[in-house]
Amino acid sequence: MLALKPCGGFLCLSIFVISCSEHSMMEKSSLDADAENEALDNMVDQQLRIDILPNSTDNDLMPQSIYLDPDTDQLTGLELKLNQTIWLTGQVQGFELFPHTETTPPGSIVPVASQIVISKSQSIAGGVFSSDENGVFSIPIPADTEYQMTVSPLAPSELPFFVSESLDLLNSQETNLELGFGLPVYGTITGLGEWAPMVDVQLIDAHTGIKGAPQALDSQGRFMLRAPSDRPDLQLRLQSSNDEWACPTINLPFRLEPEQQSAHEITLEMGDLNMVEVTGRIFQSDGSRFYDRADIRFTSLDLTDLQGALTVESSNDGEGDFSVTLLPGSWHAEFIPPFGDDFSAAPIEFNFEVPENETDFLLGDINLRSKVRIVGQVANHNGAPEAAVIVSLKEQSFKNYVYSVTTDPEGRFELMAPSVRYDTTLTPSLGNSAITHFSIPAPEDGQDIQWILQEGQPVQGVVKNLGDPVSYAMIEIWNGEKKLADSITSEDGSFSLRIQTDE
Amino acid sequence: MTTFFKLMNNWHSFCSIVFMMPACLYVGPIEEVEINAPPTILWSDPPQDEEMVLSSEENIALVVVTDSNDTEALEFRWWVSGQSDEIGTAEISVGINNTKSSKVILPADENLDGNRLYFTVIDSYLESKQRSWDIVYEGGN
Repeated sequence: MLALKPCGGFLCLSIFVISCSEHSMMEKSSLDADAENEALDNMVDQQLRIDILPNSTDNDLMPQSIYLDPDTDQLTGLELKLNQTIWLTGQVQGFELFPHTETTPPGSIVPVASQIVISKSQSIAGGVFSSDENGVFSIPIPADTEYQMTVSPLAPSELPFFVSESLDLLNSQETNLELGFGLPVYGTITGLGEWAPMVDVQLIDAHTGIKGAPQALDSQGRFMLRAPSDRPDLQLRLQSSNDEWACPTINLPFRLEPEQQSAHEITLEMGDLNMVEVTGRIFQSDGSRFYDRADIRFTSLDLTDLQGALTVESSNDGEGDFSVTLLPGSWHAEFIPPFGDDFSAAPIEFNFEVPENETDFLLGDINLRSKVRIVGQVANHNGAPEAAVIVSLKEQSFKNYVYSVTTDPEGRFELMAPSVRYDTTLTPSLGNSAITHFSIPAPEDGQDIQWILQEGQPVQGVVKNLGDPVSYAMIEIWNGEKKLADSITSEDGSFSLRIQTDE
Repeated sequence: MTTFFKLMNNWHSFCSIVFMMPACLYVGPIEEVEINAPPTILWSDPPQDEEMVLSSEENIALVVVTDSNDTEALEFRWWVSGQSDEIGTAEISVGINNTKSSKVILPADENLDGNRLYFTVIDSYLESKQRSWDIVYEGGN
């Protein structure tokens, strides 16, 4: 059983910002960015994106995305040519300095061990890479334009992170990155007591979500980070670095003016937290104790007098008992038994309140439900029963487990699964039907379900690298954030599937 | 050949004596005997005898199988040694030429280091094929 120790206290949030932060400007800037993103999403939604993930034995090839416009491009007879891999090499350097006041002493240039993230909007190209201890990096990436690159210093970490939002990488190149001085962001988090070193602080770029390296508070709750001077809208994130310690994650937004030269101070006062030990016991649906190990997850919905969010994960002991330490407020509880045919128990979820001014709270008996029998029949778009259709039910919540079965020659299927909401995928093996996606509410026990496959639209072609077929590569077809279909290329690099055209 | 004709001679003699016929004739119903072909693992990533390296946030293991009994249901199971329950997030897709593939995504979890990842495909005749890989944690960036 997981024992949770409380983090520091009731948040009497008082943030002293020495540099003026103009929220109106920040909000306008955020709104502009949101509008731009929405326009970009709408534009991209009209396109099909084909993600190609070559297998790991094709060391020379990297995952990448290819775009098609269904209105103008043929979707059959495709020849998808992969971009060649280029190498981005170089060294990260920075100024080692440790200013704890606004006085900034001159530093010396040192190599900086860093984490380097390369990404491309609406594409799977890129990845997360680490330099060596001398800041030297060598990154393989498919040749393309408009990459984003971020560099987060790890050692020394008291340096600004680096962001490049438009980077064309069409040929192998060597680039030495200079992180610069940045602007100091410093302050003190009080009220954490001896737990202060278990809290990390981290700077986050508000527009891109790019994160700097986390840094632990010192024993006095002090921190000193360096923000990039060209990223005005930032957040300071506080979060526990210890899984067994219940401390909420808090984001504090702030703004650095473009002309700002002075340091930025953030001070946070935390009082005593009222930690409550929440206990209970898990039972099977037949009333017997639950002796297997369930995953137990509590997610805060609204913490009393506290900003931030907190998720606490635990499990029961061999008698079905559990005990966790939570903060007062509204919580969402999930009890998730193990996956597999050997387990008949199904997960449950509910909301509850942890009271204030209490030290103990009995959540009581948790009665798991049983799986239900889900039966039905799948027909093609002509109404004829369709055999050999893979029916996949993916939980919308809990741990997103996937329950699968294949239809028999009469198109019928039957499986045991929890009665929860599912994202459903029907994948035909035969005939001319599309891979069909839809969501369903929690099915009832024995309810006879009738599903119809869409006719859809064929997408067929071959993946090639310098004229040679790319075998056993994963193919995923997306429309915006929605995955329409996936498959594997055959040995000769070919693929053939049908995608859904209607909701 | 001599032995064969001797045996045939004995068989003819037996039928002539017992049934008063020059040969034995089977007149019962003929039943079709279905011979199952077990599933075949065509390809896997990681390949056989290589390691499952956990080096990024999401680490994919993929197996492509085929089965000449094309309408039978194949079941795919994944699990990690030392863990009591199956991996519940495996996803299946269909390729051309009657191939199916199953993939799981493992997190960069240091606790998995030194364990073994197992994959089994089972057909409706309960014939199966298995593949497994040692898990090596190299740090998730």
